[in-house]
Amino acid sequence: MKLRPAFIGTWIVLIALLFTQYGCEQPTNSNTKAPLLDSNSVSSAGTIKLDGQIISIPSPTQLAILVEQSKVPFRKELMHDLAKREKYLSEQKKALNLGVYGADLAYIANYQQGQIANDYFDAVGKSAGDLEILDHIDGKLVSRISNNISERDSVLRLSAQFFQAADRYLKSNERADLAGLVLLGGWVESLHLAMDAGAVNDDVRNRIGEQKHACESLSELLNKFTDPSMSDLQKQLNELKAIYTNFTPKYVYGKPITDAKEKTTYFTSKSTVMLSVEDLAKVKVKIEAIRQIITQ
Amino acid sequence: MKKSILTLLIAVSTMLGYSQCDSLAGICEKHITKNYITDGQAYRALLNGTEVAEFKTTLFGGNTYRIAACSGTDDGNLVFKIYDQEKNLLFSSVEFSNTPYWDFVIENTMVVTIEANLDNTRSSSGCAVVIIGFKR
Repeated sequence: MKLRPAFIGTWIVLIALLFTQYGCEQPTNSNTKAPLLDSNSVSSAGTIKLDGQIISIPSPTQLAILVEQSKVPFRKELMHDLAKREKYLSEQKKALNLGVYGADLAYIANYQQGQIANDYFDAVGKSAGDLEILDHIDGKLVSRISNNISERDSVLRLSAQFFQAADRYLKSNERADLAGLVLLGGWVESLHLAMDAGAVNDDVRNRIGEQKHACESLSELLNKFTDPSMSDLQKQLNELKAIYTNFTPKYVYGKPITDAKEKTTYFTSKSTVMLSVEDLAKVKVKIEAIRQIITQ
Repeated sequence: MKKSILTLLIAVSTMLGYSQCDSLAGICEKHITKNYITDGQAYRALLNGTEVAEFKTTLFGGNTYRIAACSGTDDGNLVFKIYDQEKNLLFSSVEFSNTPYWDFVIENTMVVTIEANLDNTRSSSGCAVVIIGFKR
């Protein structure tokens, strides 16, 4: 087979372009503008788009902080069994449980349980390795987490960076579906871990009630999966979404106040979701059912 | 032959876009300083001309968030705006010289829409990256 010179030339230009992109460090010239892209290129780069929108799920760390502040005692038995990790064979299960172990790590870190944190970070690292993510995360970041595993604030900040790097890698490599499952696993586990505190603390209970948007986004995301193995999860999450429909907050707009010197704006709008103990029980039943499917 | 070259060009431009987004995410992260914890997600989109990327997120009451928005290696190429659920404009970075980051103190939990678009006086296409952090 012969190749035309023009075709060979095209290949040379394309390969040169690739080397230029991957082989060079980012320019630091302050006058450099955003590089131009082909006008026919895709309008979205590896993002999960739902009806034209990228989804955003609250960090499990935020709920974990509130749980610790509610003064309910740490309960190791609430967390997911570390031994189960090796039993997950499908990529979907591995991704879901990477999120679960990540939420457990945030819970542990808030209670400053150093040794247990080490074990769960090990599970997070191995889960990321199983999904071939770990090799693409800065080794220095991993070392910093390991070296600071007893420092609450460091673990929370660095592990969030770890999950952000994982999210970025998955989305960049056309595995945005798995990135979504990591978020789902983390979200479900964070709610599971908050249920004890929600039973005795109004702030935590209402925060659980404020997850309506996250639940809707995750439900829509999961409904896009066509794999039959996800059908039970889809059904349960859709049922949870139906429960959350009853918790629509009352909203009253308030004019924001800006302090330009401090680069800060205060959002003053009023919004309330009051979750009763009975409402919490309904959410809990469904969250536990979903978690059972994820972790089994 | 033409079809294969076109396919190849599209594949390469997509790869270039992904690579560009990865590089920019690292640059944008410098605005999320040590006092802030990221939400662990990477929000990005390749934008052309006047295209707008948008997503909804929940900002929880009692928290302070930092939102950083970047495109290209310079600050100020990307404009970001925040709307409430009734489409009231709550913030626009245009009013603050396309500031690459801003802090938001949230009194009550709100679902907001964050929009990002290129400042076409500075850039006609590129990868938009938004990062959300919250104060510990």
